Amino acid sequence: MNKILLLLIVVFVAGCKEKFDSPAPKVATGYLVIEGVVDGDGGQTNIRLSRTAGLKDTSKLMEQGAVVLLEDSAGNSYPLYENGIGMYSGNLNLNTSTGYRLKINTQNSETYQSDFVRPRYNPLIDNIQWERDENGVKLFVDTHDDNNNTRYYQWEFKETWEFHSAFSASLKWDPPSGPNGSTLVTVAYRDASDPEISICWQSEASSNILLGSSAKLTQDVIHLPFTEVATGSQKMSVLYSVLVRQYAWSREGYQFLERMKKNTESVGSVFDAQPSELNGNIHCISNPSLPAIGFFNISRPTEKRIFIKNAELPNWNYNAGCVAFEVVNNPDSIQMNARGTLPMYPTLMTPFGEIAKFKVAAPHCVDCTLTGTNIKPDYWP
Amino acid sequence: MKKKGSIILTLLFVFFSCVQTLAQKKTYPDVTVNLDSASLEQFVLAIETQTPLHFYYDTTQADSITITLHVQQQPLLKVLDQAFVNTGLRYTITEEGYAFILKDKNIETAFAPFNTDEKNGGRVDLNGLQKRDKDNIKTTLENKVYDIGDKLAPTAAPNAIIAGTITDAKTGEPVVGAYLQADQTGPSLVTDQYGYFSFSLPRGRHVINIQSLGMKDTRRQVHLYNDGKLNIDMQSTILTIKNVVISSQKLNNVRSVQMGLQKIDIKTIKQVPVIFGEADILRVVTTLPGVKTVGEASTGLNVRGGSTDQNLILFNDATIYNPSHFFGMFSAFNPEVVKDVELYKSSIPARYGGRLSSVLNINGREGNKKQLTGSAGIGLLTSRLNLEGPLIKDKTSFILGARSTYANWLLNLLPDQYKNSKAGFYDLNLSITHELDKKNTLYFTGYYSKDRFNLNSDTTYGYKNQNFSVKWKHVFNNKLNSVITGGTDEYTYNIGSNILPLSAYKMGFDIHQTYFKTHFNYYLDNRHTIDFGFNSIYYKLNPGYFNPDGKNSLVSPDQVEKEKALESAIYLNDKYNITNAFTLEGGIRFSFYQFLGPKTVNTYAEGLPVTTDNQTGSKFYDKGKIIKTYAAPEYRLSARYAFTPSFSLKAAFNTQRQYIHMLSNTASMAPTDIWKLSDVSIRPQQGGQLSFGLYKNSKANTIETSLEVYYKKISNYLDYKSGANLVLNHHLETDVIGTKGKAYGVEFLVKKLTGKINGWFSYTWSRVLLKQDDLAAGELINKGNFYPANYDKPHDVTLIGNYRVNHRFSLSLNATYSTGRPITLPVGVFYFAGSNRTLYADRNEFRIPDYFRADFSMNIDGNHKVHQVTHNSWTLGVYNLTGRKNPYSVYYVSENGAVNGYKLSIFGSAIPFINFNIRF
Repeated sequence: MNKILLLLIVVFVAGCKEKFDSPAPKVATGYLVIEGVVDGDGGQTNIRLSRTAGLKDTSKLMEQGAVVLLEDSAGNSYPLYENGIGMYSGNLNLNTSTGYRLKINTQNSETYQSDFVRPRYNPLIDNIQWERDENGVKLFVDTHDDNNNTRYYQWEFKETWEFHSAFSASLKWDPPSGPNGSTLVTVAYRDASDPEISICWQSEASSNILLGSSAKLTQDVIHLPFTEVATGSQKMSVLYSVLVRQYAWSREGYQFLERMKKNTESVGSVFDAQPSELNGNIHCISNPSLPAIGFFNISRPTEKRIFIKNAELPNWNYNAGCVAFEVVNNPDSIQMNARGTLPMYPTLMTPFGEIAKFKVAAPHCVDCTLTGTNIKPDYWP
Repeated sequence: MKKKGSIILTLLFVFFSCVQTLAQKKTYPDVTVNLDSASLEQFVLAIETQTPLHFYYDTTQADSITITLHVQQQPLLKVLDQAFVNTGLRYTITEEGYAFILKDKNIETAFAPFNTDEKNGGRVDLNGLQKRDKDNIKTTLENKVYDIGDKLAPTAAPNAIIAGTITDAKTGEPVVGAYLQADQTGPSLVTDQYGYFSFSLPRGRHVINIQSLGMKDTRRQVHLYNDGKLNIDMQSTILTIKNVVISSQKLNNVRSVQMGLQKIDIKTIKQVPVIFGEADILRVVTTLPGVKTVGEASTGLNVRGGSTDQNLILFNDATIYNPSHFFGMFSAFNPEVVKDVELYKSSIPARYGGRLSSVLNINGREGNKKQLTGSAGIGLLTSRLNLEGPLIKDKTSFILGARSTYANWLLNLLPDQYKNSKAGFYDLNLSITHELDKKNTLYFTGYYSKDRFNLNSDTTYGYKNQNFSVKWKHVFNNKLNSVITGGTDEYTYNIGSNILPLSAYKMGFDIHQTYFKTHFNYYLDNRHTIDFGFNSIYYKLNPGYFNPDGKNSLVSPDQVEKEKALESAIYLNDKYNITNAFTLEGGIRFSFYQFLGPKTVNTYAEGLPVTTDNQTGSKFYDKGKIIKTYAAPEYRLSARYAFTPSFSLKAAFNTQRQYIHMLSNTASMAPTDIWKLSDVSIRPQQGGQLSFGLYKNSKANTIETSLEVYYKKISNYLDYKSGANLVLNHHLETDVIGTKGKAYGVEFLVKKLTGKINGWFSYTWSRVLLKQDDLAAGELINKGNFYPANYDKPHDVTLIGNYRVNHRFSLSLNATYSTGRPITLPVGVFYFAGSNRTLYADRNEFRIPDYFRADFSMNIDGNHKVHQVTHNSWTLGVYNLTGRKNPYSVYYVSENGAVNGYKLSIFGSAIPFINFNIRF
């Protein structure tokens, strides 16, 4: 419905959207937030504990020093260990035929406990497909469960792409800070000890809750678009890869995520549903009035990665928008004309083999480590 | 015969006279009178025995007059002058020797040569003569004395009944709500929706004054011998005569027993400026006190703290489930075929039922019975055509209205991503009225409205209303008449998408109802008017289907079981005039609801919350089997006490029951909102309202002022549980909760509907609070405390103003202010699934900024010559004159990891509009 509203707004050209600051006073909340799916098949489980913060609070309030464990119905416990701030990890092998619950004791003596949950089967991802259309590349995830039993899915994905600096450089500033108006700056040739700055990788993780359900279909089959890369994007300028991770959820867990998605990703137009309370299956048993945000789920994640080469995308037309210009090699000229740039390569040599003129460009056009990393991921071909 | 003729003539002159008592040239014998505290009758007898004169006078005027006079052989005129001094009586003596005595009236005799005045120097008064010619027809009818009833029939009872129909002389349409007053102090009443009236009066002579808005006041003189019939034609006022002072009682809110009734005629509706200049009935209704709406793109009404589904919207007896076009931008009623709108928000007549908050009765016009006429209008988004005329002259007439949009041109102006979008709506109205004979009239009404919206040609939304009714009005006799109505109402909604062949679907729901109503109106006597009748509605709901679209679609068909129910009611209502000042109206409506099979009903463990976990099984009921019955009486009581003719106090108490519920988890009324019948788990909504009001009219009833206070209680109002799924839910009862509610408020209204400057001003203070504190029913909302409903907007001020510069040009301004509606706002953030997300406060704890808007329009009419082929008019205006960016909603989104708040306004600047109308 919000699509319609959007259209109505566009129709009635006068409509508009403005920033709005909440008149709501800062309410002390500090409720426990539990995120993460337990891998019961021995893979690493990461449970992330944090606290809700005030609206204007930019700090992430991680929950440290808590005791986190799983408990089966027979009373056996399976502890997780704090592994980084607010992160609780472990490798657990759980039995699919019994139920487990999550127990958390926080430093301030609050006790949380989840309902009992059984490990959930999660089918493999069949395929990651992509399609080129006039807007760019649309990516789809395909999965199915022959037993028609899984039905409720969540995906996370992480995009990684290789990209190259617009210009390659054989020169560098000496000192590396470059011309800034005071120190004497010259150009020097780069050597093997200098870091790689023309080939880099960058990653981006999904930040939306991505859900899909086949509950209304006769077969448990999913073919769902999960992201789109616009034509000309740097992401597919060389080589692009996406890793999709899939989780299986119970109906209640799926509804919890759906509520959270509705509440936080599309709320407010009159046609949208009103925000609803986020009650999961984890409760504070030491103080029942205290809400806890999170849903305990045991499901081994399944993953699939694909690569897309730029060569597969004719007329991709990636353009970094970089311009090079020439500078005369003397300290005054460098100070005057080359501030805020990086040197690239000589264009004129003196008869004595010295650099007379060289080209410079904006730093991001020369040094890809400014936006990415020059460490090649181990899975990269 | 001669005598009678004279009386008529005289009365004719009474009407136009402006002269003092006349001097007579003729001489009469001198008279002797010796009377002490004598009645006028005795005095007249004394004179008549001494002179050849015959006296005529009204005994009712003379009963309080006493005459003490002792004169010996004095001239007649001197004696009369002396006798009538300080009595207010005036006399006139004609050439023929007839003497007329009237109280406080100046008399002029028939013949101009004698119609002289001493003070005028004996000049002839020609004004009276000229005027007489002009209004000849009217005066003839008005001065004729109609003999009603059989003169020779035995006359046992002191009273007889006179009844009839009032019609517009030009179009033949009945005049609804005309005010009739018998004599100056006698009983009064108002014609019903068919222009019908019935009086019980003492036998003998009466003058019946008839008044109606937009009609020339008229009167009829009757001599009532026995029960009989009188049909009256009224002339409409084409031109407003300057300096007309309407001094007696127009139908007003002071005199009626009804509380919280607002009536607006289409003329008023049309002069209120609205968006795009489309005269919009529902938008004007929202300017009335006690009526609110959640936002601009919503025509859902919230009446006195009621939700949008608690209004019974009737268009010529047909129930309209979705009264809007274009997702709430426009109302679905064509103003050209509407006569007027009545909103009952407090004392709802017993004949209406089935909704808690209000009845919005939209009365269509009847077609012109005399000639074929029509009108057409062109606006920015829609154009209209309306045609009416006789099928059989004076017997059968039709009226046809059609409206269509051409909004696609607007969509073409949109950015490319919307270029394949299409939007459209239209509505059609057809009414046929056929008068079988004087006692039987048939009415056929058809209504069809359809909306279609196609977003980027992948998802198609559509909805439509379809209504048809037949009505038979029968007059048994002067005391008893009946209206029998039958019809069907249908509302369907569908949505479909076929962009992904694997999951291409069609989905929708519909409501179908068939109804039968009989209504009897019995005028027992002057004191009692009794209404009674029987209503029955058979509901057939298809709560939802979800089907594959195309061969490749993997969508598994899903169909929520159909629901059927029969809702019936019998009612009896008596309006009892205890005295002229004190009137009571009491009604009882007994409603009876049966939820019917075939249906599989889920059963739940007793005493536990209705959740899927507590489901114990299900039970199948056969076709026609009664699954659940609800029955209860509803009370409708109201009283009026008039301290003076222009000041009254009223009180009313009402209870209501509602068996059909709308389920919506969005803030406004949306076409996607589904309807649900009461069943085993979902109980009927109940409401009770107590209200008081003060009504004062001033300046010769041209200014109406009212103050009303109300307190209302609602129970079993459905709210949804957090994260409820309302669409295609086979166990909906597990996702909703019955809440309790209370609403209270004060409404103040000043209204002036005549004069150069007219309009109304209203102020409302009101609250509506809901509560869900029953743990057994499921989760609590806001820890079981009262929380404001979505449409709780405490302060609401509206001004609707119109200034008629001249007959062809008028200016309108409306301004409205209200408190911002409640909203659930975020109070915190947390990090989850790769993004910062918002934590919300209690439901509806905060409010969006206040709302203010002013609109302006100019109505320009072409010339007013009556005889021309077409009459044109233009409406120009500006919506949201101040360009204020009224927030329609406020929302928070997580964008690239950050939580940002936005406020959205639909009309963020001043919007000009233009509209052209043509009448032929």
